[in-house]
Amino acid sequence: MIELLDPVTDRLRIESLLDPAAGIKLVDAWETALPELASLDLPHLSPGTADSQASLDQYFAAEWTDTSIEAASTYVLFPWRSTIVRLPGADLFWRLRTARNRYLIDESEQRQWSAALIGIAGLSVGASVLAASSLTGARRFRLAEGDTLGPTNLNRLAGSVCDLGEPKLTLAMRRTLEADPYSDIQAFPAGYTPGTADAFIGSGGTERLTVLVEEMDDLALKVGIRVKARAARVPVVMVTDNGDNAILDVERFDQDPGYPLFHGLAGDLAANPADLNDPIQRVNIASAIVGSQITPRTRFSLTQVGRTLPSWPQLGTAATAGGALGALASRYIACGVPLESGRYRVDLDETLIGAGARASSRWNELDEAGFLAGLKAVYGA
Amino acid sequence: MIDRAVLTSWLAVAGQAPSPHNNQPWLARATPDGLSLRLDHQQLPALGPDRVQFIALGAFIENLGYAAAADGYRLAVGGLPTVPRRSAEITIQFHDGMKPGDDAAALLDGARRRRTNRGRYESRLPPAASQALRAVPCEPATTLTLIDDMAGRSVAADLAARAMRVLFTVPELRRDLAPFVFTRADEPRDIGMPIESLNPAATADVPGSTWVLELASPDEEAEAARARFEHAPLHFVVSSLADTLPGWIAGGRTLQRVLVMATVLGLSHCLAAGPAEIPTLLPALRRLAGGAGRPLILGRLGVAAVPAQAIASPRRAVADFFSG
Repeated sequence: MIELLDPVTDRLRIESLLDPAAGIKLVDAWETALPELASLDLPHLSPGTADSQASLDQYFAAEWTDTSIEAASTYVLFPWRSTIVRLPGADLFWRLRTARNRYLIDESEQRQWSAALIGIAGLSVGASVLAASSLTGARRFRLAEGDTLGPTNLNRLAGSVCDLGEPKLTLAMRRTLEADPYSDIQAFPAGYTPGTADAFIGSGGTERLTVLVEEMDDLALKVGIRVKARAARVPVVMVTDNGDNAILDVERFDQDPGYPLFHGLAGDLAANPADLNDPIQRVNIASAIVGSQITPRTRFSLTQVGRTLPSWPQLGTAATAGGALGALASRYIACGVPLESGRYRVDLDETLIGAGARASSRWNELDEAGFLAGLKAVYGA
Repeated sequence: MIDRAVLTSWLAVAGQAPSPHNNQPWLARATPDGLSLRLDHQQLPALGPDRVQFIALGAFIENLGYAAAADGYRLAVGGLPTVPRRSAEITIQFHDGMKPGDDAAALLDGARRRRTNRGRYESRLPPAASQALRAVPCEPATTLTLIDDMAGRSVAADLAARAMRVLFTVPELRRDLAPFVFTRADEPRDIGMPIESLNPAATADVPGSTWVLELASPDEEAEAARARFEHAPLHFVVSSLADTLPGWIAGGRTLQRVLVMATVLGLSHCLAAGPAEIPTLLPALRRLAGGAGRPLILGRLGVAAVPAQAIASPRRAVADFFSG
């Protein structure tokens, strides 16, 4: 997808790409990286003072000559942008990219997080988890998604109309690699399937995931991947949109290989796989997993799925919050922070407007009783 | 290669250098043509910047130079990295054949006798002391500012007091200081400061760390510092042109020249790194130093009113910081 080129061993390739006839744009990252490296190496300087300027002059003369800059560079070709970037090498780039995390994420945690192998199945909300994970320094991923970008995705997935029809996986990889070209990404372009389960989750000689972020729509696949993850003792994180809010589910199969799928909310799903193919049963099971403690508008919307709505309604606010939540949970697990199995709610609406968020006074809002009655009427649930 | 016994005797002098809280943050390793020096990570506070630690290393190098010079060796400091990484190695080479100067023995003696005295000083200086101090040669790219006017000394005293208040108000700084203060209630140690040298009135019946963490009053310590600095007849600021590792080493060497010369002149001294390290105090210290570079340290000089308060702080054995 990208080419990482060494300034010495790949000299000829770099020169050919830099030839104006190649039509490749050059971005020299050092123009912005050098001042930032100086501020990291000499953070104590008092800006604007004469000794600060003298220190910087001394620093640039001693540390960063044209030769040393070139030697510390990697050229990165981004074909879809027709752009080549002269970038600080992996270690220096890593230092720059995580500099603002310092103290908030300590060095040991940062190393653990960057070494963690994060699997993300489903790249709708999963793309938000990927973005937040990559932003905070995760750089090893297995990504599975077979869908392409459509206009209706653009309410929650950071994308561009220029990319409509492109695989979501390709777009997610591009975004991740443009932010950190040294990221290591294994792609599963057909999405997660039972046939790729071992390769995706890891087993035998294949490295096991540190955390699995499961964000698929298909209930049978959701159950199947958990069965595999539990067998491989891989913890599972899932975030679910709930109006403007997000729900986080954590299943620590790494700590408890007997932990029930979805906390046992829908019974023993692994024992009755046939139910997962029945449309009515699917709604029943999904409702049991999500529960009725959701926003009044989400309740109403769920009663409309299959009638006036094609699928579960989702908002960009929830997808963004869920991305942060999923990334944080994954980091906690990777860094050994005690995060227990269970369901966690982040109710942004209640934070802002208090109990008013639970009111169901408008036509598109249902209270819990109305929701359960609606489900029963529509789906026989 | 310099004989190990000779190096050890030189390092014993070097180890008399001043350091923050007397933490003696140096490690030396013999090399074919001299020494390799670096910071001893075990003696450093958790967070940087390590400006004062490298200033101490500069003072250590200057003392090493006095000892080597008395034996006819000239000391050369190798190329210093600009970036002050804690792992930075400083190479020292010794070149023989140098004829000791007329003042070599006196300066070596001064380096050996130098003691911090945190007590009060007489209000007057011996004749010609200021002149002799003004003649101290500074390392390149460093400056020495002497302050003897009333207004300037008042500013210096205020800065010393405010720095002391910050030191005893910020828990993190108290925690940094705590391991370096000891009393009769503590086991004997080879680093740190006896509480009597820090505060003669402080109780010696509790461990030093307890006094620092729980008993010391920011206001009392601040006002005591103000009183001591107000009574000193002469203050000084050492600055460096650049705020980089070479600047700090050079500043430490200039500082030690001032302190050794002061000792030769019969003067006592006391240092205050806080005004140079606490961001809110630095602008005032810059103005006090006349804007000549980055102020590295503030100090006071004078004849001790109570010479006995020049209490010798303990020292690490050379074998503890020197490896062959």
